[in-house]
Amino acid sequence: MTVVKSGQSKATIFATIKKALQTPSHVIDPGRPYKVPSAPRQFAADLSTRFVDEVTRLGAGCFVARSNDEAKGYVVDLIRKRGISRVALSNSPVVNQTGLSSALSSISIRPLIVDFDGCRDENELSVRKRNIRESLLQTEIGITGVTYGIADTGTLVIGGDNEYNRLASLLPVIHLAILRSDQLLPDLPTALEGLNRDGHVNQAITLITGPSRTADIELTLTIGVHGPKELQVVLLQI
Amino acid sequence: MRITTETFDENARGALLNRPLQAALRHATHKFVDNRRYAITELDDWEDRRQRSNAIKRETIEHLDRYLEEFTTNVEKAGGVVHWAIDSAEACRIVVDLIQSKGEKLVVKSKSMATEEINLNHALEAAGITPVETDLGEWIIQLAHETPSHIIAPAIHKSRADVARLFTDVLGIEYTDDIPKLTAVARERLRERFATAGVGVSGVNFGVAETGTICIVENEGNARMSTSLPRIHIAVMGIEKVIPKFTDLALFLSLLPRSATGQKLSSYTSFLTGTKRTAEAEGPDEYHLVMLDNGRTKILADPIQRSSLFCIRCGACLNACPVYQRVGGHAYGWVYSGPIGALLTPQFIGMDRGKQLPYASSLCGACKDVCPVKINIPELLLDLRSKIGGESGSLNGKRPRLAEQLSKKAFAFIMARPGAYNLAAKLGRILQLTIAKNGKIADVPIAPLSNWTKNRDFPTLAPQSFRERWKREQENSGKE
Repeated sequence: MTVVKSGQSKATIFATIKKALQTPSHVIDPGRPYKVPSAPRQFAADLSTRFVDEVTRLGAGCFVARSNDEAKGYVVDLIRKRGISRVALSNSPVVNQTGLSSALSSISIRPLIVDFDGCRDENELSVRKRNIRESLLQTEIGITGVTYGIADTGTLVIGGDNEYNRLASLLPVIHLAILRSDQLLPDLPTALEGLNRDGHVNQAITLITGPSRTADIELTLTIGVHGPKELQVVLLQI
Repeated sequence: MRITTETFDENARGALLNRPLQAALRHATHKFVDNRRYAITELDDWEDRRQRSNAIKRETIEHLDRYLEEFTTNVEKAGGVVHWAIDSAEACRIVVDLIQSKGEKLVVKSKSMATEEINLNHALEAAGITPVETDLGEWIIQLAHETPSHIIAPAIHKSRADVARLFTDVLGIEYTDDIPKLTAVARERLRERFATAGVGVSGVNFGVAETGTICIVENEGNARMSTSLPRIHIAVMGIEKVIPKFTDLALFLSLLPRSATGQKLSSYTSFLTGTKRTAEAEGPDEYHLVMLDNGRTKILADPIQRSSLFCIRCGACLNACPVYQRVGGHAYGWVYSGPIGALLTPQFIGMDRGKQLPYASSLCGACKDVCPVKINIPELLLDLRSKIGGESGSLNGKRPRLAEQLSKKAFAFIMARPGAYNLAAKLGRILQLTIAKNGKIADVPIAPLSNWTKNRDFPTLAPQSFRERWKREQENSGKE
């Protein structure tokens, strides 16, 4: 392997930058004064209504549940109606709260629980990771929790540490996200403030805004390229 | 990749005569323009946002060393390994060495202009490593051994029938031009690759100095796959892509998708910060970030052209440009096309090789009006033209001929004197009788004017000047 003299290149690049910046910019347009919005966006309707409208506009399904049982009933019904047998649940508080795991057992579906905690050693962990990953690639529906929902854009924010939503929201054919209405935030600036704790952010955060899509052939919108072909959202308004 | 910037004129002529390409370009650019126009109406402070983003970019670029130091220190603190590459050769060597040292052979790639710029796929293949493009458009052009013709939609120049034939020939599938079916083929074939690749290579849309976060914007999910499934993630990022604060992402993410595809947000926006914090966490074990100069510091050294580094690669200026709308991306001869390509290409690959590009503009200013970071592209193009021409002001760098000097002097003389102007117009009306056909002048037989009419028609002078007509109308109305 060749030795990469990265340190040297870094020094060279920084020296070049410093030298380049000795000449002040020649600004063609000085620009004009501008306002920075100081408050979150205001909507005519409440957060839940806006969120549901936006999610629906994106071509995703959205169900508002008034109780855990109602949420559970809706999900089980959807799974039964579609004839789905391969189901994955991420080990996320809001998913557990609905009691979906046992409800699925009652219709003889043993869901794959996506959870990497509690392995005895590295070996066991890597085996479990490989197995879960292989299973998720074959899974029809992945059910996850979220960190936030963003009303302005109908966006789901995934990225809580140790909730294991990352692959379960990506690999299955359908992604079903469950969130509580108190997880709704008005807009992206508010969500970013919440995700940034004094300069520390979680390792992997994803904003999901609608199902996977492409327009790469003749600019024709096509749903479901590499990510989920279908997005379903259950909003718990308790 | 083969650089064909020097033959822009011929490339453009070829594109203009290519009817299917003309139809594809018209359809795509107009659709992009409409989508953007609709999307920005949803924000009542669009102009303020452009002004803000311009101010943030200026602040960052004018203190680039400070923000780069902060950014890369935070990447390292979070467990990422940072590499620095002065040019494309060094960047490719870093990536190839990394992959070889880990004993990996298969790479899944998500769309990245930076890796197009350094021609990474070529370097990987030369080292016996298989790169697989996973963005549908990029995959199509990789299968066709072509280059992207648009920043956002790389295969914009191909019709569904082209893609159908390509898939039949290369992948051996039964012919279908049904777009959802073609897309399903990509999903199925590339899933196998995602599942087995040891390395994922991605680009970066924004790097946040405050947190060491990289932001990747996409619609298909292939970037999430490439950065989640393989055990090693390598990101390649131009050094100009840094922004100061995590909350600045909100501003830039309100501008980029709206300008690019007309979406409020793209389907997937990922924020990745270093490596995983616990063994249990999902995602790659290793994360490397290659910081790419490759000519950017040279642009930085130019106090005027510096602002071209503000570009966030949304592609809006391509769609809005009357030249791009007609000639498409390939005519520009390198990875960056359209107005921003006309600015960046000569500076990246050398003025002598890219000198035709700054002239591929009517200076109409549509690019400037749509640019979400308010780069004054027409002014920068004019500045580049003056640099290319040098003191002589001529395109080929030679001293201008006497005839050219005299004609410019004569033009200045005539334009400054109404009497001379009227006389010249009368003379022109008589002279044009010899060359005008059907109300236009398609070919002036005298150089250098013949160069101009080689690719365009010139409208004939009206039989009457406006002043003459005005005078007559006034006289007539006076009689009544």
